[in-house]
Amino acid sequence: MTPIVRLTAIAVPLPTANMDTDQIFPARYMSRSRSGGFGDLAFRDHRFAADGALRSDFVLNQAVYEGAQVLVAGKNFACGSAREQAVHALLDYGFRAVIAVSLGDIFASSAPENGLLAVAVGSEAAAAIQQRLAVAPGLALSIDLDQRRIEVPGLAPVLFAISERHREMLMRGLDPLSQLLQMEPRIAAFEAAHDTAMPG
Amino acid sequence: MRETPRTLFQKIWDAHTVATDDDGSALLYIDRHYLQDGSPRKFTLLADRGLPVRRPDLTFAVHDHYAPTLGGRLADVADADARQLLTDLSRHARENGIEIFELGDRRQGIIHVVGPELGISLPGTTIISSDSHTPTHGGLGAFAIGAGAGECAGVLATQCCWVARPKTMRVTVGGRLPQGTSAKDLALAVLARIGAGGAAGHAVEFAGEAIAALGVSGRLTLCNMIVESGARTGLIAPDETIYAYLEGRPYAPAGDAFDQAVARWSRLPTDPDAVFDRELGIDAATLGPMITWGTSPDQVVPVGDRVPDPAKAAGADQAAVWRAAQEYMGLAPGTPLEGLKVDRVFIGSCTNARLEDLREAAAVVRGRKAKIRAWVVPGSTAVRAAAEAEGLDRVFEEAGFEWRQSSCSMCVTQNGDKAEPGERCVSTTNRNFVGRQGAGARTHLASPALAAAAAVTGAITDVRRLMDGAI
Repeated sequence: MTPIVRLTAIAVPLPTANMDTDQIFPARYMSRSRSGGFGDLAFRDHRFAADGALRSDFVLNQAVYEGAQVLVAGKNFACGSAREQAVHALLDYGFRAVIAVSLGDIFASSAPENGLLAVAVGSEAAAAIQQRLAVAPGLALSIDLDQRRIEVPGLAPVLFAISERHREMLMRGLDPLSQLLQMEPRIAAFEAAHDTAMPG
Repeated sequence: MRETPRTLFQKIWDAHTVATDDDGSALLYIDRHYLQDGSPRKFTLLADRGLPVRRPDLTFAVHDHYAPTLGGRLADVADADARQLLTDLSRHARENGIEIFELGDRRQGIIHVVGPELGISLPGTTIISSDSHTPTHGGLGAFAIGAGAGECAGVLATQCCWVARPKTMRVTVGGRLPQGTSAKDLALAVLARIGAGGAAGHAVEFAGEAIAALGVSGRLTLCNMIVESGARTGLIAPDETIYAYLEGRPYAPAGDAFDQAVARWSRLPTDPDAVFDRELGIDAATLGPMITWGTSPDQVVPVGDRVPDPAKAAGADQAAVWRAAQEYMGLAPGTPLEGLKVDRVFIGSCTNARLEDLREAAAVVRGRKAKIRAWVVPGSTAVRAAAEAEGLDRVFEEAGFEWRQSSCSMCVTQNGDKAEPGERCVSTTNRNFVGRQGAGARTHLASPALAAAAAVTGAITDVRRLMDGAI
């Protein structure tokens, strides 16, 4: 996975609350393989009408946000179904980071495991960022994983929380399965003492 | 011996912690890993590295999302990609020595129905699956969570998963649920109270008189629906009701081992004086049948109420959300929910398709006729057989309902079962999101009884009007 140490990129504002994974990746595509990439399916029904016509009023279809790599989202972003296809669709579209008021729990851990940075900054900080994006569409911001902060022109830096494990994984482009396999001695020791028929 | 009082959640968390991270996350050992007919990525990630499945004995697979509700066999699956996913899962299961309850097997069904009914999900276990309604099993006193497919690959390889430590919330429900009101209505009432993100990042324990009075089915419904509040999971402490339910089930401990298990399970309930991050109280006696009006499960009111006025919303943002939801649902503010014409009814899903749910619906249907298209999709093949043994299938079919095969079906539409654009559907499922049951489909979430009432009247109806002496 491509490491992220410091990312500077155009940010797209998508403040709608409860943007669930059905909207990020519709269920009717769930049987598709990722081999062709899922980029064209991200936010499909927001970007395209039923007849395939582009919805020009949807933020992702506006030219000023072309090449964006950061999504600035609202409350409870990516709530709903566990589908990892939602993470893949965002990555394949070109996003490398999501900044949100708050995140669906499953997405919050599944995203970094797939190389997508996802941080929750709370409503006040998110509103401040959204305000800056609203007055300057196409504005680029920076996310510094080393310093754990978001730098937006015109704003004081916004600090965010991220676990050491996720931070290291993203900064070094580590694959989570390799990281997990390194825990083998501790897992084996635990397993030997744990009765799964009657755990607890 | 521990001095500090601990919650049910904490006891299970502590007993399964292999390692911890600086933010309180733990590497948890997973007792039960459930696989469904989704992406085969979990297996390909392992195969690419030549890794075996560490504990095939703790891994169970089902066909549920793509199971067809007519015919019930692989040959009845029209979509080639879907057939591929089903056969891939069967092949991966066999190659790795994993038990699979596939199409054609009498144990096939929705995993969150099958796990409990086979006695695979047990109190005190950690359970994981790449499905957001895995918390359902919390109704048996397990710590059950949904995760991404990649994390589940990690579970296949190591039987462990890193989990962020949730905060804790206890919802204490006193009193008794009135007639015509069930666990689904209680769940919807909780959502109305705390909102769609209201329990975000929390493990929610349900306790109190009304919870103790719930059967296993109701407890599973409650833990299933709490997911819609953003909760990480739901849990209910095991008790005699649970032990009696589990005794004799195929995968539950048996004989002396069962007695020993009960002795250990009895130490799981939350200790007196244990502290929760948040506490909430609800009086069950104040509740009645509920129904959603919008595009989020927390946009819900008692069935006798009206579509709310955005002018009365808590701020401009919520007003805008309400207006958008009402536009999608084709409902004007102030419209009474009762009397709203309905196009179809779906009784099914991991939320409400167990035997008790089918009995609840059948009691309303008996002697009446469906006025609109209505489906019953049992939660598992075993539930279907048990329902037939009681003659419930005849009750539904004589009333003009379609009695179908077990599958996730119209809850998530992956198998092709869906509503048409603009169709107003009363559904016993868990999500009423925009387009959830089909592009342009308008979903109203309700209990099996209320769904049955809608089917036999052709409109949203307070089911208590159909029950002698209930109102």
